[in-house]
Amino acid sequence: MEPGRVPTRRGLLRVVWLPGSDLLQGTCHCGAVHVADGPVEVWEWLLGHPTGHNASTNPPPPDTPTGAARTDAGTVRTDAGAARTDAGMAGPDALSGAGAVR
Amino acid sequence: MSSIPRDQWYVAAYGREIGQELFTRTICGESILFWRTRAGTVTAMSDRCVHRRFPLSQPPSRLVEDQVVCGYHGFTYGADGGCVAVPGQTRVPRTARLKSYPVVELDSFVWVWIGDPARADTARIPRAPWLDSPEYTTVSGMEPLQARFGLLVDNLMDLSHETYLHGGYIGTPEVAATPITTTVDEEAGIVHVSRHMDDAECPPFYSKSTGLTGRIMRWQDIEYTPPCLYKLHSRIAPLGVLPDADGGDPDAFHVEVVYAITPETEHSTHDFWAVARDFALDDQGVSDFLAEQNRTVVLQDVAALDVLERVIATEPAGYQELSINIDTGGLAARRMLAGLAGQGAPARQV
Repeated sequence: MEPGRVPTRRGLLRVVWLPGSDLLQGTCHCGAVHVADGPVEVWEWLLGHPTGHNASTNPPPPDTPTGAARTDAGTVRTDAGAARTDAGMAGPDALSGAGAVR
Repeated sequence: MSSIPRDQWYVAAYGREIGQELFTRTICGESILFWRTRAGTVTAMSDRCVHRRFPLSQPPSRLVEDQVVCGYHGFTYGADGGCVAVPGQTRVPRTARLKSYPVVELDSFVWVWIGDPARADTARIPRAPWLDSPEYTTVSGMEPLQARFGLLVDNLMDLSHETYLHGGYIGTPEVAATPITTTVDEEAGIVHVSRHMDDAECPPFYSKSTGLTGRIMRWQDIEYTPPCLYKLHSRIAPLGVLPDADGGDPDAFHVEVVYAITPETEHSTHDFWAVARDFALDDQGVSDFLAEQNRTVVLQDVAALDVLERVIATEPAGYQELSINIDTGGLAARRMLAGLAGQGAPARQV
């Protein structure tokens, strides 16, 4: 699939590494978009559909600076850049509420 | 619990490996006997005599026309696995039948179904049509890997390792430095990873085979259909040369790199590799070069993954890996494999 194509049908999930940043933008088949610090978080959010998925969520502007990520709630996080370990997903709520603002 | 998905098609061999003689290979822990009948079709059945388990591939077992005769006591089986003769008596026990496997020859591979034969649907076999297309020239091989198949999947889904492990062959700085796009098609069961380098150094693998010098466009589009077939659509072109609007791409070089990742056991893998190109079709020098180069690259992976397998096999339980952006596709593949293996999608394998 070409990098620029947007998922349009059920079962299609896409993660784009935003150019010029360390951020990953996940797009669900439902159209919801979420920007994450790493792959574990972005897959948690995508696979958590529909929890935390709001199709009206606006994707971040292309020039989103490295070190800051827009959450679903539109807030700006300041802990970006910190690598998240896989161990962080081992808890009982690993796949629930992944899109919630923390 | 096994990490190897069942009820799946796996590549067992290249068609050229199987002739009118006994051939054996262990696939997903099952020892399978193959031969090509006089009519030209490939058979696949258990490589264990039902009597006392003697391997039917082991001399003095032998193939007589289209029947295999056990070298221990003479039990004789037909191409369908049914026993047709036993020593010293005329009655052949009703249960004297070798387990047979659905088998299909396609795209130069011999595919075998591991699982319930009633569920074997040939339409599910993923395709690699370049490998026996007259419009491509292909070099290929297979290297034994003393590591679990998941490590090879990890390796191939994250090509940033080319920069470090395969420098001087296929690795350049741009591979690790270029962001990727990952797409999971849950319905088709495919993970795509794209890395488009629009201004990159040309590694020897491509400069010496295409003749291009200086900077190039290098696109890598991975298409992995778990568990077995991995395809890397590689496009090499002079700087600024894009495909035509109608999809034609006459000024680029295309290389289809295909891997079949077949578990031998829980801790060893058959690493089938093939490189198909749409240029210099009749140039044996290019074929020899690409075959030697790609085999070298595969052996670099094998050496690294063999070490990694030993590390994992001897480490204390509970080691937690760290995943970063380059692992986005690999994590998607792990999750899909875990689902196929009936393990669900453990959180740490998402």
